[in-house]
Amino acid sequence: MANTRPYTDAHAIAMIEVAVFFRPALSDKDLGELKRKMEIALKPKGFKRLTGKGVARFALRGPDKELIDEVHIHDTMMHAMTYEYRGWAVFRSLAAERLAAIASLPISRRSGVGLAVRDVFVNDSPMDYENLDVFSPRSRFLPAYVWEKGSQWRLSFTSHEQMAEMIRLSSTLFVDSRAASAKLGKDVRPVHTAEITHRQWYSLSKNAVSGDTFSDENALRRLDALYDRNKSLVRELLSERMLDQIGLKE
Amino acid sequence: MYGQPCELSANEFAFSNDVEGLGSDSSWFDSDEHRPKASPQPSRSYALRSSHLARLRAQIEWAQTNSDDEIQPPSDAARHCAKAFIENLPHSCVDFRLAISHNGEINFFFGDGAGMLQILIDDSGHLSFYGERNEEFSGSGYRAEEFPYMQLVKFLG
Repeated sequence: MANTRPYTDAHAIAMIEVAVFFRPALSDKDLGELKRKMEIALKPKGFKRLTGKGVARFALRGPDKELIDEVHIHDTMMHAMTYEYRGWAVFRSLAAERLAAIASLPISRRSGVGLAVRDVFVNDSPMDYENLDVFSPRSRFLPAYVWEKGSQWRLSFTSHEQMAEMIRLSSTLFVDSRAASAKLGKDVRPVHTAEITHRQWYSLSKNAVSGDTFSDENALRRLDALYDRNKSLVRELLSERMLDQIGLKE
Repeated sequence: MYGQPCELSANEFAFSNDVEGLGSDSSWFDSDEHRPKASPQPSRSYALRSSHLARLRAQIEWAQTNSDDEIQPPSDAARHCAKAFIENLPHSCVDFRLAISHNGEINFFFGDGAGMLQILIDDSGHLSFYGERNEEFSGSGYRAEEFPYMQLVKFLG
């Protein structure tokens, strides 16, 4: 009991991601131009462009060759993943930089913006894992069967909510409690991980006109709202002890 | 509406084709069941940065709990500045020592001996710093967002 720890000493975020969606899909010409502009923006920051067909992928690696940031450009969206979370203010300014790189596209082409956060909790003695280590027994997101399942289970929810201005807010929550393995040098040891991935996105209704709904300023404001919603969800989902460990009781 | 927990409904997956107003690219909306799993351990620099943040939190809590005539905990402004400073540090600059003074100042020490760089945060939440290697690197009155991080990278070289 109580051997489970957050992904890092300060918090549990293993990945955070921002996405901007395009409608209609970008033409080959627009896509090529966007890839070129993104490469110009990212190269001075140490990103390398990865080879591959279709999707343009850029990656930034750290001092130990670990993956820190990725940017992918598809014809219907651009998304940027960060594997080293450095607080909302730093992530938000990174998101603003990515938006600046797509400034050549008319703002009316932007049809949505999304935020995904993955929290991970690890137990180095998998047999000791208990759901109460991580999750709150009072959480309304966890049905009774979770508490009867033991250490390995999966849970997935989706919701769609119509907002004002022809905008819809969609959310998916995926929780994966499972046996895993961790590499330590040449050794591989068994661990238990509980992963919580929460994706949320605002999107325009089918026939709505975008206008400046997802301009840089509005997109960032909506990301702030999604971030607050994610924090609220995590506060509802996690045990008191885990909230304390990741600083959400501050 | 904002800031409230999501109202999640049924146990079902999201489908890209079912999402109004979005393109046909399904990679963002597909269930995370099929995505690569996170490594169960963070990178070294991520772990180190996070351990500094956890240590800062713990030391401030200790100072707050034990404050008296001789021990003054860091102000909220100093705490926010220290957190923002650690979060803004470039990936190559997360190897430092952290210490909180009895008067609530938060200190960061990079390197040691003659070439050590000391960075101090006072109770107004501003940074001052001094270090000398081949040349002097110093300044005062900076907010965390204004600190010359690229010059720090060069200084620590």
